[in-house]
Amino acid sequence: MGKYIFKKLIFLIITLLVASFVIFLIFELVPGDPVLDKLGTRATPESIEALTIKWGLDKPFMVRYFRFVTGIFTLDFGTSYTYGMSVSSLLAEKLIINLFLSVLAIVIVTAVSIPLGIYVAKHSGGIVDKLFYPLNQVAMSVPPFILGMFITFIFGVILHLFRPGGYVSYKNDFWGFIYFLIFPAIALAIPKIAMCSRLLKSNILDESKKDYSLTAYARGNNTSGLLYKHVLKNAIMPTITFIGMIAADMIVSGIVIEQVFSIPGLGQLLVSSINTRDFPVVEAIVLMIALLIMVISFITDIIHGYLDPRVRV
Amino acid sequence: MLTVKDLKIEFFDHELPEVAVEDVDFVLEDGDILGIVGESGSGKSMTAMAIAGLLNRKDLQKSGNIMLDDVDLLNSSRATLRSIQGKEIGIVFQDPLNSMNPVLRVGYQVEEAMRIRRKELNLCKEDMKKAAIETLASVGFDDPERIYRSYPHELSGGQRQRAQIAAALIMKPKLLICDEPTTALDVTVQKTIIDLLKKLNEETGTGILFISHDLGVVKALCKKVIVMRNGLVVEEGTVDEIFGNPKEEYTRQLIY
Repeated sequence: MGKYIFKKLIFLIITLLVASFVIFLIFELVPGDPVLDKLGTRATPESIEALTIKWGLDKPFMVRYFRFVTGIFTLDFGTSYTYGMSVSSLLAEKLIINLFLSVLAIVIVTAVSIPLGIYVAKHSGGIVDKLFYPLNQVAMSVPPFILGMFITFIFGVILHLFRPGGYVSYKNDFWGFIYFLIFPAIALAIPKIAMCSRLLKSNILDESKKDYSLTAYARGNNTSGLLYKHVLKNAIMPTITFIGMIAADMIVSGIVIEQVFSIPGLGQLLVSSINTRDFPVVEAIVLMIALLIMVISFITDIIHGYLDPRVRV
Repeated sequence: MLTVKDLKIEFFDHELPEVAVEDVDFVLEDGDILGIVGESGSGKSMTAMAIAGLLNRKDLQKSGNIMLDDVDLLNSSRATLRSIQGKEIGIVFQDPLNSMNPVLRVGYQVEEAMRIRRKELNLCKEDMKKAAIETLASVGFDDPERIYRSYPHELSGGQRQRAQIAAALIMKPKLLICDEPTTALDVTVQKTIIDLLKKLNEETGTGILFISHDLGVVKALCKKVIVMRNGLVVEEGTVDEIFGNPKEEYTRQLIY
């Protein structure tokens, strides 16, 4: 197992380096000059040159890339062109918000879809199962931002469980911050719960038709014994992979949902930075999202390795 | 010990009912080895499944009796069957790879029939492990401790099948049902399995119901043989009778 984790860790670092290169290269190739953008009509050849040197854009590509890569490890991504402050301090708060939002949504997805999937599989053909299918279709097809408005209306406007638009910073009131994030997290979670529980249900039903389930039955297991001791451990693996993929998607979907709930997260910063060609900020955000996704898939791999002896080899 | 009487199994999963097994009668005495042969679709596996109590689909109808001593396996409740499965009847299936759970250790699967009855038998972990290791040793493993800790994918086909036999035998059942246990194995491994079953039968007196389409294997192992075709028993007798002087044309075709 130790060797397996080590292998995955090496793989993670290589992927990170490749991703950082691609990200840096893309913003190198994107049309538009941040210097001209910043100076606008006031630009003179002297001021252009001065700013180019100040931002280090006169240095060759590889030199600048090297600075960017070392920045990953020292968490120093340079200075924002627009705000004049360090990118790290600009991003830190936003990243924390998005991280909490995603983690909360994943916790909700896991906590609801796994018991739901098991229940529906166990009572397959029953009333809950018959209701499950159409409800699932609806939940899957409504995009999170519509759900976000719906949730704001129901829980915020009618039930007064939270104040719409009343974002609480984690610096002032941590539990208030978490409480506020629960509602956007639910909006993010609902379509994924539908997908996840359906996947788990069909995997449980498939696995329980396999030969080893018959063998387990023939040893005198009852339905619960069969389900929890044999089937679930096999059936849950695709669901774990899927939750890992969802987790990556949550960070991106979160960018949209934070607009609906007026949360000052990564999304607003990302959009404004792209408009002003604030490349240090954009690069750092994209890299951070990529890194989070990689870490999540690393964790998924570890869980897989723990559950399935065959992947450890 | 095992008496099958007027067994009939019908399927209703298509528009017309389909008879899988009809008019099957036979007796398996204590400690005997009975072979059932026939081509695929002859109803031999269905008979085995009925005896093992594994036919609980809703779209089929069963009639007749399957008496294991004084319990009617065909008409018992699921709970009664559960108390017999694994304890008095062990079953070994054809495909040794797929019939083991890939994510559980071999040891866990071998001792499972015991683990399920752990409370009533008042056993601790060490007792079960000891029993599993002993059973693994009895099916011919030189290093049962290592096999106990292994996962199914780490064993060869023949080793897996022996582990399956060990799992079926841990509770020292009266009856061992083998549903084509050698079909997925190569010839040399087949022979070791046959020898093992013979040895276990002599040592423990476990009755064996051996289902196969391979007459060579049946001839080497069984004392009595039943020949099935299209759900019906076409011929039965001792191995010498069936192989020496087959009465039915179908049996002759199977032999040659």
